[in-house]
Amino acid sequence: MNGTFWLPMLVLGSSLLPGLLIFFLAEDRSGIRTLLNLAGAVAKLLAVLWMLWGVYNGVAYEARLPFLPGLDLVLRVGPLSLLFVVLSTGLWLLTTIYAIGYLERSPHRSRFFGFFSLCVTATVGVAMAGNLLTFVLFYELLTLATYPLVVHRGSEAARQAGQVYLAHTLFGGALLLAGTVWLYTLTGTLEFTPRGFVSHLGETHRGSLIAIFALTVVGVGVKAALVPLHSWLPRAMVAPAPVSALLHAVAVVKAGAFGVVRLLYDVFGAEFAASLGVTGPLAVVAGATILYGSLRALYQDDLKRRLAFSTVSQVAYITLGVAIAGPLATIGGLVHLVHQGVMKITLFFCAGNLAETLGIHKVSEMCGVGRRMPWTMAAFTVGAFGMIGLPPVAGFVTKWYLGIGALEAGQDWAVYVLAGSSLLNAAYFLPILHVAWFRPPPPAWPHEHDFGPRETAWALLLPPVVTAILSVAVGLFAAAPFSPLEWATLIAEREFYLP
Amino acid sequence: MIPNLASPGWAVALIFIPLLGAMLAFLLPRIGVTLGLLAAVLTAGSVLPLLPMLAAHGATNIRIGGWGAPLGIELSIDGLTMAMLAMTALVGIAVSAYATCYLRPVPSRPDGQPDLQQRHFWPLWLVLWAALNALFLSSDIFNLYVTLELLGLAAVALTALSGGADALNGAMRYLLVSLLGSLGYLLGVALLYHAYGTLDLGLLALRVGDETVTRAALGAMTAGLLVKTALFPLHFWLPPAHASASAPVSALLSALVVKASFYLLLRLWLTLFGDLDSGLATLLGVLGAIAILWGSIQALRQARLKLLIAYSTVAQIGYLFLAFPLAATGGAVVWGAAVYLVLSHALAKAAMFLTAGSLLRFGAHDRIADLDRVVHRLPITIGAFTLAGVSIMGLPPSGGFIGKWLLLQAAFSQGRWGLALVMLAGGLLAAAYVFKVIGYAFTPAVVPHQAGLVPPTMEWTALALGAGAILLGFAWPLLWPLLEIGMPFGALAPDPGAAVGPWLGGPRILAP
Amino acid sequence: MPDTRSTSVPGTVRARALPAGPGPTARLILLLLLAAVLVGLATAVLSLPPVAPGLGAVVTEHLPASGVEHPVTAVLLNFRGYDTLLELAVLWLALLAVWSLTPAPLAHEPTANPMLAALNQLLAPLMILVAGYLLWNGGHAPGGAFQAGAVLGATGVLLHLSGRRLPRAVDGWPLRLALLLGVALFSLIGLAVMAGGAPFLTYPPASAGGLILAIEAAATLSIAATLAALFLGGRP
Repeated sequence: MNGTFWLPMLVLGSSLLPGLLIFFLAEDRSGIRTLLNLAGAVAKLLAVLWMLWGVYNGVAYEARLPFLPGLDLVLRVGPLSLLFVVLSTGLWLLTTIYAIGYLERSPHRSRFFGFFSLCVTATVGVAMAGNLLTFVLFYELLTLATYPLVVHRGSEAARQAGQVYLAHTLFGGALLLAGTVWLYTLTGTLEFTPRGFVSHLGETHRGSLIAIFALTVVGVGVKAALVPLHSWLPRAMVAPAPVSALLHAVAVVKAGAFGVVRLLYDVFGAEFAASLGVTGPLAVVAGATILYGSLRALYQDDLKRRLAFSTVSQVAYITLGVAIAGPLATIGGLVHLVHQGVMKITLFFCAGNLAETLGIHKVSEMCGVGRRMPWTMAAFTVGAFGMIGLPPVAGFVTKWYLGIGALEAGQDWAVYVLAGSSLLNAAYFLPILHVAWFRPPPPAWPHEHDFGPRETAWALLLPPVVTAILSVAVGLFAAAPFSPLEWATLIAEREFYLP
Repeated sequence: MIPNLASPGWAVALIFIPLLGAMLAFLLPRIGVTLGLLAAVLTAGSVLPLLPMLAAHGATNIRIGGWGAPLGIELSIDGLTMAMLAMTALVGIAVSAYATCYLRPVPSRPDGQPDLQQRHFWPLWLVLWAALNALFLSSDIFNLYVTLELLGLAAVALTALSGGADALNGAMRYLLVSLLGSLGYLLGVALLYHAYGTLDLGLLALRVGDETVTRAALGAMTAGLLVKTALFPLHFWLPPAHASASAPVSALLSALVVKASFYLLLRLWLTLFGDLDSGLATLLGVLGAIAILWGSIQALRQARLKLLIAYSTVAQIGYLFLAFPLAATGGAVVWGAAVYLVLSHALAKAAMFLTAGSLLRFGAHDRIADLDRVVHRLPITIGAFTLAGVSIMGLPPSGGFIGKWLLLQAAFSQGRWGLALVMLAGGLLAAAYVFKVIGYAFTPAVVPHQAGLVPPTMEWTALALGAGAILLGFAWPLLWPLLEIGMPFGALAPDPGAAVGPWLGGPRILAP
Repeated sequence: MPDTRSTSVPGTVRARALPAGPGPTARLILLLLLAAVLVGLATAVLSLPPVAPGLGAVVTEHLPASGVEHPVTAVLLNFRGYDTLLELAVLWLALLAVWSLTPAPLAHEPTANPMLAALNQLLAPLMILVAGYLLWNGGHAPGGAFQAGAVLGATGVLLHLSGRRLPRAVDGWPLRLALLLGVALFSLIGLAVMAGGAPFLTYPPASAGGLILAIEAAATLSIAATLAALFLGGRP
């Protein structure tokens, strides 16, 4: 029991403990609640950065607890885990600041922040899981921790959205569990291993392995919002904006996409999965999801719903990248895990600002809003450009790598999907920008709050501006050390080139 | 270490502290609550010294009257018994604390007399506790019959205690069914005694063979105990009885009483009937599977919370019986999984019924759709319900998950796809009915109602039980070696305790 | 399964106070099931060995050490005294259950039947005497606490029928104490012997006979009180 054991535990505990404490705080103790939240978030970030340095220097972090006969709960931190951990930890800090500002006057904040913390605990657990059992545990925990956030408002619509959310995610969880148990009875181990741990069964259990792949991928595909399992995501938009940010960029959808990556690389192994013939269909589903999401986004007037369908489309890039299963496409997919998170959270922060400050919920209400809230809309514009894939914003890097990766792997059709989706992205984002910047503002906003001289509260403004700057920075400095791209390259090398 | 002679005495204390407590509470009703609570604490505490005794000496037999089998009666303690005693103690102490608040009439009676429910609850409940402990400890099949009678009668009386036509009807039906089940069991006892000349389980295990009479006894005893355990289609009596009793009683009935007859069936199966190739195991598995689906669907259809929870019990009992077909090749670990499900269901279901009682006290009704923003107003209660629900659904981390995982593992490795599918579907249905309640806990009711006062004790005891069900999810490496003391499940399967050593950090203190 | 269907509808429990009987098909199935059970049992019973191994010989062998001379009493109060103790608890519990339901119905006072009263004056002392005899007899011949208690309980019922009531002073805790005296004394003696390190209920051989008689006497009183109280049908 030394640093390699306690550091991953610290990363979990730094949000678990504050979360549990916050549950029991009285509603009006907002000072101590904020302190707990921020202290936890900062402690987690520091621990994660320490581990980042360690992993870079070849330290292996592992924490292990006996759990079931022959099976342990394992937290193990490697490059792939860190990619996701850094993303969720960093964005969690920002989302916490944002949520503190957003929920300033609303009731039941103790419950909200308690589950908020549990949610990010589950997410880093998913990221650091060292075997499939641990992954399943945190994956289900994530479902449970997000449910109260989805139904937080307590309206009938929220309750129904919650039921839809659970119906999807728990169904997926059951499939994942079935696949996991089945796999364990075949292999006798569930430890994540680079290039998989099942290939020796390829001869004798081909049919079973294909079935297990289908079960587990559908299980995580529900959270990754792959068509036709995506419909919970737009429904869940009834939740408050920080929750949407959490669902779309930090936690839930990402956990699903991350699950696809784990299954393909560390359970089945990309090559072996390709030899089973399962990656092709997965890539096709991802491609279909990309186009379908973009098409549906075109027709949404509700801003958050438009963004939600955009998420459906964008997250499928990750799946597409890893399912194409070439080194370059893999880099594209992995790096999009980070890029999509940073960009999409910017967009949701901005949408939340519009709703909270001016009462704007629809695209058609956004005329001239750029003049009233220039900083917010500037950040929004950066995010939108990124989604479309304009350089130098991060989205461009993703699409570049995905495109050449597809060509390298001989999957030319994927390039057409990417091109089509970029066009569609432009078609549903540019009108928003046009309306916001170039139309005259209405005489009165639907429901305006006064925040004094600034366009909105600083806690609401700071996070989107930071993430917008990040979106540009990770695109501009993509070749710098410790950039997401470099890190993704490291992971892909391990999967494809190292002996 | 506790002296050798003194330690088995704690087993006797487990039976006679609650029994004497019941008598005192009956004799002196004015201080009945205090006496009852004191007896409850002492009884629960008496479980603790048994642990080091068991760890030091392994499975132990106590010869009552000094005669020993076959002439006299013996008590015996092994890992399985210990687990059941501990489960009873945990649930018992929590329900006792809860009952002091729940059964208290809102304005206390001027003459200082506790009201009638409270007055009779304590003697009855303490006799029930004594009967449970006596049943778990006994290794004599006729003595087991006597404990079964004591248990059944106390349970029926407690059911009727809440008064009202529903409760009386439910209790009456329960009484008849319980007597029928006891008679079936007694018939088997008579057959076995006549054929083999002993009533002691250990001696019988050496003597029984695959003969017609053994099979007849197996049939009679199993049928009798199935009625009492409420396995589908013999569950019809359970929902009305469990739903109409008062909340602490419902908790005891669902968490402990049905488990006692299951325990007895399991014990008989493990010691006497396990080697008979009768096809009964398959039948039990199939009935269990139907129970899971049927019970869950019925639970989902209920509009009232207590009925929902009661049907959930019907479904959860089904899981226990899936172990019978799976254990034939799955071995000891499968039985361990079933016991684990028994333990976690006891904690979780007790927590659920206690929360139902709190909600009933709060809103004066238990209609699910009319729950009025209780998640804000009784957050601890809803938290308790959720934690218990997680275990009932079998989501990780929880005791229910461990049990379900091990059963699923056995089902997959034996190629029993049907059973695996039923378990998964059962989990989803459970999620549906649990979250049906939780969802309505967030929304306002159409007609707002007055809010009754719920004492903190009621909220926190339920939460403690729910949290216990969750913590069980991490306790397998600690509990499995304990369960294995005395080898109640037969020889070890290949690799059940491999992960134990490092967890305990050195020598296995609980080794048999 | 008619029952499951009806129980699924909440609020109908009350309406089923008089449940409709099963339909003709269900009756037929039940009949067939019963027949099958009967045949199975008959087969099992016929397969039994004609002479049961039993424990008779063991009991006879240990009889001298039991403190009594009659094998049935030895089994009930010594060898398997624990069973009897729990049975006494069952009896008490039955009364407890009845009392928890309802107060005794206010029986209309029977018009003091002079015949009955006269008969009772004759019978009651006689029955008490018989009860005492049965109790004492249990040590070496058929008899004992249960028989004696039954006779004594019947005496109580007869006295009640003839209009006699318990005095106010004793219908509180003295009555309750009488009801559980048997099981309480039995338990306490069983526990007391453990002070010497013996297992529960191990009578010292020298005093076994006396202890058993004391227990039987207390049990007789409790059984009688319980049976008579059960006759009232509720809390007095």
